[in-house]
Amino acid sequence: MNAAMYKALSGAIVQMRRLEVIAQNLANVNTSGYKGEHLAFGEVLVGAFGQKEQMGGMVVVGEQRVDFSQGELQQTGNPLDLAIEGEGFFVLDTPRGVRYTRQGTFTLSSDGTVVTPLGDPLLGAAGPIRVEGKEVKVTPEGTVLSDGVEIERIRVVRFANPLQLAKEGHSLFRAPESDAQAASAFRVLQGNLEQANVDSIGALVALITVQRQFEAYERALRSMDAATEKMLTEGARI
Amino acid sequence: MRALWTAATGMHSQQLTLDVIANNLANVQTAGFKRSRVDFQDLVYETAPVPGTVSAQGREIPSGFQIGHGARAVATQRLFIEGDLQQTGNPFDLAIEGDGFFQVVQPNGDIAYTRAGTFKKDSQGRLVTTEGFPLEPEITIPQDALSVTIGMDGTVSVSQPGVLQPQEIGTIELVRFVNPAGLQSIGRNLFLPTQASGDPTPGTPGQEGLGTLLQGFVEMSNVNVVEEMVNLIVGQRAYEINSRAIRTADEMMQTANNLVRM
Repeated sequence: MNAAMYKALSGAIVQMRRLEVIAQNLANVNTSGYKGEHLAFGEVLVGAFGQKEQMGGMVVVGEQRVDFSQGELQQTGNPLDLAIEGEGFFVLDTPRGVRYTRQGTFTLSSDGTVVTPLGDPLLGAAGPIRVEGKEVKVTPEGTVLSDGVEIERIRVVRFANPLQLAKEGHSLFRAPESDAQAASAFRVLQGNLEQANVDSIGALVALITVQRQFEAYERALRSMDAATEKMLTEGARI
Repeated sequence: MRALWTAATGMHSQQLTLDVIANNLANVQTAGFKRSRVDFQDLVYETAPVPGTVSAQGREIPSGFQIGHGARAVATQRLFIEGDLQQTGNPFDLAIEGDGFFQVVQPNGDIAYTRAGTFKKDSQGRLVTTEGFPLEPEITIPQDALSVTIGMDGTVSVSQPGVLQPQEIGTIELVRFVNPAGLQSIGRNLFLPTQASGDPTPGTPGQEGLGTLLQGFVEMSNVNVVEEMVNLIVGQRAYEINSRAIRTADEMMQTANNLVRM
């Protein structure tokens, strides 16, 4: 009896986790370069975690996956807004080490270096990119031209297994530098931003299912409790 | 329940978007105005367990579980995209075609920078902004000037009665910044330099990357009403859907509370 109650409870807890993930996706529905998250659920089968038999059938969060699908492109006309169409990440030199991002809202620092809004320089093949001329042009291959003169090529890297990328906040991803390979199937689009790839209608439906499933678990818990009570009172009468 | 706070950060971010859009729309007719936009980033993640750690059963956990704390605005970025030029025919209306800012002297003696070239003549004949801040370097138009011509390179010449040749009386200088987006706006269409914008580099219009001057034209605001309206709708819908997440979290907590039987 208790085991069944804990199974229902585990289901309710998973729904709360789901809600947290949906809320995170929705809060970032307008964060450019944001990649949505999905939860996959698993049932812990008998013995799967080496636990006792009656603990089988518990629902747990099996896996959290970041959805790396392409976000829609939004034209902004700002020369330092860059979007990657296709695979890959921009490489940034942050105080905590090299980080990766799909957010292309760049600006110039006081010495003309291309940086993120937090001041982390964008890395090219040879290091930070410094623009001195009047006009900046970025070709689809990532070559940066300043007043028509080629000055640097933006590094765009890919990961064989994007699941190793951990989110760090500030729209940054963390991964071992040694796993980064040069990407090839991409285009850098100047004057565009990649929007978040969050599907708000899907999220709305998910919000409803989360709530209803949570309620269903609550019902289950209540009826199990009622059954226990009945067993105790009627059992006592015999 | 963290979802409540996460969704609240989303609502707060969207509110900021609306504030910025409202300011852009209010300045749709302001000469030389540059629109802003808000850039967002996701907030830090709580990771439990860290991907790659080993579980009690000796297995490596492949992806872990990361819960974010929502979104936040990191910057309002001013977009120095050129606005459309409007012909006014007023000889003291100057538009900059390309990069650059006019320098004007504020009453406290500090220099501020502007793209709004709607200059006027004050009682002493100086070229001043609508607020009466004189242009730097000062240009004084002689009282008896019949006409004023301002060339693309900033040279100001006047024709006077009885003089055949137009007289050159001064040159309007422009300055440029490495990173104009880093300028601080102080209202009245004026900007001040900051550490992020870098120091101003003065020069002659049309040289060293500076734009040229166009007399009789005004640079309009670069706000695009249709684009702002679309952004407004996007912002409002995002606000709504975040409030929906808050309601769901609230109702789930209520359901949980109902578990306890009286």
